[in-house]
Amino acid sequence: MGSPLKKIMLCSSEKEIFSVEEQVMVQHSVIINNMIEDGSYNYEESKIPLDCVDSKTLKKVIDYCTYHTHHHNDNQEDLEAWDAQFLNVDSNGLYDLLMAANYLEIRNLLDLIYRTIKNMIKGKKIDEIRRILNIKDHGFTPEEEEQNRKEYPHFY
Amino acid sequence: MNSSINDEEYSEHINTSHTLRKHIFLTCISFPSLISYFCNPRILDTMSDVPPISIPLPELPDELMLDIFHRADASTILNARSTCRSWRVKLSSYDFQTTLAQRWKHHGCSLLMHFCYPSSLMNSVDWVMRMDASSGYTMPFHFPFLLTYEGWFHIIGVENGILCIRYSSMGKKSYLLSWNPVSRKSKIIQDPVYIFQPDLVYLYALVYFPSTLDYAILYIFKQTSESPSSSLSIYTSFKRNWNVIITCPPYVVTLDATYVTLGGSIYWLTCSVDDDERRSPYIVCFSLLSNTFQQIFIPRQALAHCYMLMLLNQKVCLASSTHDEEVFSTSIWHVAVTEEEPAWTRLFMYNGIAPLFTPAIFVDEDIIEIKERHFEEDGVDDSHVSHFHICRYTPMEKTRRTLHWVEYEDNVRIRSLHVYHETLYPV
Repeated sequence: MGSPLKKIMLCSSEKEIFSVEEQVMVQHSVIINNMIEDGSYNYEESKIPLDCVDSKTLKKVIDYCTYHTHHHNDNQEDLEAWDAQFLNVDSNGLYDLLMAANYLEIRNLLDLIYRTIKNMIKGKKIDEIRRILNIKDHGFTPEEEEQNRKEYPHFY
Repeated sequence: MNSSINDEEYSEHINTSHTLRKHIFLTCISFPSLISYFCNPRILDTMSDVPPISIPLPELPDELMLDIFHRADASTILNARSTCRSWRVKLSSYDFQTTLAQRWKHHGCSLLMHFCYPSSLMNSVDWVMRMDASSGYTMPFHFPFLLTYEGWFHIIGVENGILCIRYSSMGKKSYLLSWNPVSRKSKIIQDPVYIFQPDLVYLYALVYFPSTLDYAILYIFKQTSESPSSSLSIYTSFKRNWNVIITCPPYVVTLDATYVTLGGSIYWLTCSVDDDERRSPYIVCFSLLSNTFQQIFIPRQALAHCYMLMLLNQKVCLASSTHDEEVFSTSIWHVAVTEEEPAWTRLFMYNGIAPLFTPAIFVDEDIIEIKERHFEEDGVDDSHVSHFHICRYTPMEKTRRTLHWVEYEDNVRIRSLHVYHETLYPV
């Protein structure tokens, strides 16, 4: 664990550089934590290239980690309200965040997004799930589709 | 076909939003400003607790999707299985099913208790109580078949969230049923009684093949009462018929109707019958993988008044109890079954107060005990009261707490006791 004031550099896919408190990222991202711990990060020169995370998403991810580092003692309701506000993004934004959280292995952000997507499809009809999850070709034969509809009429 | 469905859904959507608006209109009639607020559909959309999904999500990598579904509830998963072929395959795979089952296990499990009237001619009045194994809350449990007054049922086994039940709706023809209460799928299987027509009906058992979603139902019977040995027939969920017949070794005699299964093997308790005075108990083990039987003797140190097989942390254990009028003391022995000499280790001992033999079962590392007491009031005909006291004993802390307490004004017995974990395993 580094000292709280040390800063590390993160570089987005657009080559924009973000300077973040080391502690913030180390606490949340397994990948960055490993990087710092094994000593492969050089504070003078290195910047961590995140080629598959764009600036907009990286900024959000850093916002999330910073907020949760400094507010982890807040009560649960306030944190949940903040999270809900934080995830008020369109599907593409949600997707980008999910991929970034997965890449950086930010467990609690991943969990939050998983829960959100789970709630998006919970209790939905099959055609709606297909639309939300962007399933264009379901690959069932008409007979199988008919069988599905017979078996689970309440899902359609 | 698709377009007509979409139209239907669209009109349904319109209908619901109409009724919703009407409802809001009625409740907000005295607040005109609110009406315009709620009646604006765009504002209504942003009020949902999930972000508005105007455009579909880009296609997600499988591992992330699976992680989402591991957190989802049963109906969402069942729904998603019908969305496309690749998801049907992924959400039905062994890996997905076992991960999901592991996750659901953390939510706890239930006990299924089959209560019956020992002397009744009408078996259909039997019932099953489902009880949460940590809180003791009871929930109704309904089978997917109807019973007339002459009907009866008997739970053969509960494994991996699948119940195997033998039942007869009218009291005449009987069937076997494998059933998953969560997915509400069931399969009716021919009762082997009609195939083999044995003189003596022996017993049925449900076992899973290790590391698969496939199960086998075993049926042990004697063709005639004079037959020197029993036969075993096996039904498998992949072949869907009763065809493997094995002649059992002579030590497969009066097996106990309760059994435990682990890693594709099944264990029954039995005892030699030739000498009634000094009956020596032993375990009969059958392995599905090698189709062979094995006889495991209980060591001298573990001998007691009565025995029960239990599973503790994926280990086969024998509970051997001695009891006097009020107190019992039970030792839990672990038996490591190998091809050579089985190894016995005594894990721990516990005791308690119970007047009768106490059925018990392990849930996680705790023991659930069911103490039954029966009272007959003097002088009054047919007056009988049955008490059932269900408690959970934690051996590590040596504490016991009551889960449930129930009293019936009748002569009621427990016929069988099962641990049930919810899964989405196929039938």
